[in-house]
Amino acid sequence: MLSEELVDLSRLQFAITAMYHFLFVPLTIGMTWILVIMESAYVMTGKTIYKDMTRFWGKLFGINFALGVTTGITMEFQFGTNWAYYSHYVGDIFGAPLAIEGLMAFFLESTFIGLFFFGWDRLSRKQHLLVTILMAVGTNLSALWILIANGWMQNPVGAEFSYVTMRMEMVDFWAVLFNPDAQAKFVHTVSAGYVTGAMFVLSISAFYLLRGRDVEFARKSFRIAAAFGFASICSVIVLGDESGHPVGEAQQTKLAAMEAMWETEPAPAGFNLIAIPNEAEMKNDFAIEIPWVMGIIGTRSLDQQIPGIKEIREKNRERILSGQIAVGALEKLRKNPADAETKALFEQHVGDLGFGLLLKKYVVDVGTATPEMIEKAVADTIPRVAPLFWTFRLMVGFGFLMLALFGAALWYSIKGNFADKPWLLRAALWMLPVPWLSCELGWFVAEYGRQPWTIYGVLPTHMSVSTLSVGSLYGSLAGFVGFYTLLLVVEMYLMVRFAKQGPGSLGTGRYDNEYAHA
Amino acid sequence: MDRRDRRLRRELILLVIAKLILLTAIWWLFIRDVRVAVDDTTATRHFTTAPQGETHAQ
Repeated sequence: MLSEELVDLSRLQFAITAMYHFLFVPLTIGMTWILVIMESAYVMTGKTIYKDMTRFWGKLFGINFALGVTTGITMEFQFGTNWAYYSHYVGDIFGAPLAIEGLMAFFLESTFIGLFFFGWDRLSRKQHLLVTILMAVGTNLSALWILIANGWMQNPVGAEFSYVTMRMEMVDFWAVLFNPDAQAKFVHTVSAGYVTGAMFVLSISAFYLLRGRDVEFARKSFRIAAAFGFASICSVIVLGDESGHPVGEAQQTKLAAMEAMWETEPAPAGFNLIAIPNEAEMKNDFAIEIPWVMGIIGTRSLDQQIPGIKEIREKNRERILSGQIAVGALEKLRKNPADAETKALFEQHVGDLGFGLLLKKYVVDVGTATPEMIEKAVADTIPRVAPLFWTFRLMVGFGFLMLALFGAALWYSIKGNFADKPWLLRAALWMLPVPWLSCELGWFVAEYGRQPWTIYGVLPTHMSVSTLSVGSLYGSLAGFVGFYTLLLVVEMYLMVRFAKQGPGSLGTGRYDNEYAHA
Repeated sequence: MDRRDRRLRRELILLVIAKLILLTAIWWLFIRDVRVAVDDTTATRHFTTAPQGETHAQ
């Protein structure tokens, strides 16, 4: 059996690199559409200030892109080194969207980003706008394919296990492409990116207005960010609710854990606004419940039940027992593939093969698992409730906080007096980190909530990890952390330097601070 | 292109080059020799009754 330290280190390494990577990604996704809006205003009105806005915010976008590009490559390294069994088991499905994403990122997104920066003097206004639009489309399509891959990990559709090749094989590409979990995840995630871009522009514009510099430039930028941010945060909240719906169907365990729902309640279930989950006794020591809300969100109905953790555990116990038979039959089939009786038995239980593999954490031969081992495996099927419960609520809380901020910013933008509201400008400035925090919390909910699986119901995490030495993992972990920390420091330095310079850094002679940092 | 833009472009190009060098160094130090080859036979051992899958550190 693999050591738990090895599994935990592999998970930690992937989590750290993914979280660092996602500091850069949402800003890139969000800024592209803000640049499209600003440049469209320039093309439609012919006013130079909109061109300056596109170029200045484009410069900050470029810094973020240059720093962020290739930070995802280390995750690809890890698929081969730390997650070799995962790569073998699901590479046939997982590899396809990753490869398409690589092509999209390199050939579409990067090409148009190059044209965006170097095409100002070579393309007409409309041609350059078209380039900016295609850059935004390329960036979003690139995100789509990654989220299709991730959506498949949450809800593995369109694939079957082959006992001949010992891996999952794709049987329906369109089912993978139109996986409802992937689609909901895509729109929710890119909308979160749009919010990040809007908050970035809103906060820095607020900073200029508080300092009383570059006022017209900042006012126009603030208005665009307020309108785009408000639409985006509404989209995040509505689509987040929408993505909770497929979670309810495909991953009832995650939903029950993040709602601390121990019992199956009569429909429609209540929503635990606040609770103190007691995992040892499988109950909440304290809870404030809003009636009906969870049932309506999770099932879109008033009469459909959402299973609680205890009911799910009972179902999982049955699936583990069935999975034991599947693993035993698989072993016999590998020795004698012509054995028709074993093949029939395997096909009857193959849907629970992953549940049988959960026992491999405790015993080499799953057929000899004791009742205590089975009980431990049953307990493993539920992720830790308290971290999920609170992380989810923190993310949602941040979402509503941003809704209030963008709502106020839009309201006073329409009234035209937002620049006279220092409290609003200060709130906008101080809330700059909030969308990044929300994005990271959201990924925590999605990935931690899927445990103990890498592929939900198919491949347990502890079976996905390569048999490496713990020392090599500590070494590479230190290397990755050092690398990303360095990038983050450089990013912060460049961003702060150019944000402080403001549009004066364009050298047009039209803005404040023009020569202070020359 | 103004002087400050040229400076930023130079800094970003240097940064991307430094990043590629660092990534190559990380790959060279930690990834290159840690090859875990998995085929259907090793997968069978890993997923059924064998004690462990094989490590092929070279």
